[in-house]
Amino acid sequence: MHKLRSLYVHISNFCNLRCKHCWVNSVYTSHLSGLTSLNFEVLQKAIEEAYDLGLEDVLIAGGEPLMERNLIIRIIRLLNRMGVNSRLETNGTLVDEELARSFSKYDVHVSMSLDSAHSTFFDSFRGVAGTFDAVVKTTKLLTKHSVPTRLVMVVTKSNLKDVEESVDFMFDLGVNSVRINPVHAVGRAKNFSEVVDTKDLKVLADKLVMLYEEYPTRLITSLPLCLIITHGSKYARLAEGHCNYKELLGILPNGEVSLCAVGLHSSELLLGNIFRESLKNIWASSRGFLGELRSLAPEDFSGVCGRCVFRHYCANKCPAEVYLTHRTFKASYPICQSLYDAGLFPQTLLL
Amino acid sequence: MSERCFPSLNARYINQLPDGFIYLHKTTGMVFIVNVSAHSVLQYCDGKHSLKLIVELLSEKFEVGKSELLNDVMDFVREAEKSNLIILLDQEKQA
Repeated sequence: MHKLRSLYVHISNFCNLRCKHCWVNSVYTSHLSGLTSLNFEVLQKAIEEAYDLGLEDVLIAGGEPLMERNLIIRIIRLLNRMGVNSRLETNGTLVDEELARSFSKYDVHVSMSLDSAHSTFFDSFRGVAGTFDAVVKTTKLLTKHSVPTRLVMVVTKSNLKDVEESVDFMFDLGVNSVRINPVHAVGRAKNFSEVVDTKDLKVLADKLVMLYEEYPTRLITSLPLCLIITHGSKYARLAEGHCNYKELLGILPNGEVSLCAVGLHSSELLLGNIFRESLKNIWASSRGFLGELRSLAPEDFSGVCGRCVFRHYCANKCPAEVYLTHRTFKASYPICQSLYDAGLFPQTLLL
Repeated sequence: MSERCFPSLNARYINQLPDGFIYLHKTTGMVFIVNVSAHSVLQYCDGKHSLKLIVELLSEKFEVGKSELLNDVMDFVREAEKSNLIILLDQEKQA
């Protein structure tokens, strides 16, 4: 049986921010806690079953997971006891001293977004005033407690020009790493006018390569490798690898199991529900997309990914985004295909 | 490993990057990016050139003494074999 090395637990659909580009379409609320169907007991059972299947890493995300603060603390304590790595994706607005100490104690890796060095832009993009100050405060708190912290900048047409300033600002806050993601045209951003033009993705890649000289190994991007590697193999680590989709499951706020949060958008990608069935049973089956993904070979990819020399490395990068765009896992990664269609894909990488 | 073995490339050369050369493994799809020295050796790894002959050819090409080259080339070939980038044949492979 395939190992199940990673779980993405999407604790809640609710969030206290109104991000314009939210890919999971979180629902805004100012109420804290009690908004998820998940409870500790059902999650503990799922996590313990996953552990028997090889679990190494759990990503806790949302919505905003810290709206369920007590549940999160119990989960990270459990994971720490089991020796499983825990990562938390949070908007950073709900962290206080006590939580920061818990993250430090239980070795949680925290990731938050900060898309600008300027509060006006950031607060507007995230839809709630005061968000910038809250995230900066949390970042300082986490670094004070030596919590491994990553800041993520989502790049749009508007803040592309500010990438260098923003990266410097984020590293000056003392974080371990910074990740740069162009906004992806999925979820609420499906028809977002701020999605970076294809030709400007190359501009972004050029900027990041320059910045990598200053922040080697600490800067990472979700841009595809093809945009980075042509600057030289020494920049390869700037581009993150592929999703480990053959060893991954996502748990949604209602207990449904999917590949990741993609199940929120596509009901055909739901595999079962941990309130009704064991995670072990779901994983042991080949139902739904599981069989297809497990047998998916890079040689099967259509479009440019099937012709790229790095097809085994990237493995079309993000099957969720590929599926949401093309309704098949065999299509090319949308950014790579758009580069190819625009005549911007590096010919040197084509087989 | 002796100088009489015949290294044979298990990958195909694809293209050049600013700081390296891309090779794609024939069966696994693994990508190797090697530097210019390694690329010079791999160009002769066709199963027809012995390691001894490769060293002689590189010695002429780069005007470096054979004894100086031999250890470096052998070290590289040993590592390349471990990575499955090349295989070592006892005899010349017939085309």
